[in-house]
Amino acid sequence: MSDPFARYETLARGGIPAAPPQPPQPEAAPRTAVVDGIKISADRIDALDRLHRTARATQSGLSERVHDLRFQKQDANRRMGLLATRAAGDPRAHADTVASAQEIEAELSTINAALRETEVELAVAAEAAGAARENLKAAVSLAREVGLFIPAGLNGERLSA
Amino acid sequence: MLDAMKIFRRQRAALAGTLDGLDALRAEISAKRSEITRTMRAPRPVEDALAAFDAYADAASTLAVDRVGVEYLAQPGNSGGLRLPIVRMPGQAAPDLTDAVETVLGLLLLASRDTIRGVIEGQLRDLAEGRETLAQDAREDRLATLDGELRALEMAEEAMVRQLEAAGLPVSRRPDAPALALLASSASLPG
Repeated sequence: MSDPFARYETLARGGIPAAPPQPPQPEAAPRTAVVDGIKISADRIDALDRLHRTARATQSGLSERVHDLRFQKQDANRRMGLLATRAAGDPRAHADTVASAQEIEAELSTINAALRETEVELAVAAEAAGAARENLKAAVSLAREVGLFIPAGLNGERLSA
Repeated sequence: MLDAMKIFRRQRAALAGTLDGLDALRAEISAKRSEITRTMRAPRPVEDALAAFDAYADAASTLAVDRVGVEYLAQPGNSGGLRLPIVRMPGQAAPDLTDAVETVLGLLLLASRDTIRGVIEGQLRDLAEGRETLAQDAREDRLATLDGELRALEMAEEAMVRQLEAAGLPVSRRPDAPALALLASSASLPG
């Protein structure tokens, strides 16, 4: 057993004491493990996380597009309303009004078609994002259970959000 | 131009075939899960059920005789009545009759067990008619085999999904894909 006062003796002689012993560090979690005879790897969590992010970004983009199209539809409807009000107040502008109304109707028809299509795409993307999230959660849960390395940032808060 | 169209059609057919293969694999997984559920719920053989009933009847009869207070009959001046375990605890509006009813059932089994057993056996045979029955050992063996087969299918599904992903094709996993397959390294998956 080493003398605990040795370092003071070193100090008293004007020397530099040795560095204090480091506290024991926890062992780093392994990046691979074998469960039921199957080798599992922490790299797969990264891959699943990437898929989850991509799916979520797609969903988010489509959601914005739907929002945008709804705004455009509202705007076209508002313009149509204004046109109707103007036509009611000034019957002489009949020819212009008909042409403008037809133009807005065509615009509305295009917006409605795009909206229907995007809403379907959004539903599919939301389903894919949900599945990707469930997959990632299941993978992280198993990794935690077997003590596998879990990449930073993949904590419970983010996944449960 | 014609060659390009031909290649495109061939590739489209190959993609459709691969996705059909994935769908077929998923249908197989679903069927295997149903088979596992059926196996878990399959009735046990009538003989096993009757053996369990016999064990219960033995225990219930013995307990009933122990509970009726035969020892009180030996006391001088006893009126000769058997006592059922009916206890009313302070604060209870009505006594708890569970023990008493179990005791009566035990005495009933003691008196006419063969008749009751015959009725139960007939009912069990009617229930088991046309259905596959499984003893505990056979059930465990069958479930272990089915679990292995299911895992192999799920691993094959994951391998197929990864190959499609690697080819840049649009494919998504099932939300209930098993975590073990999701985390399995590519070398652990069937080729």
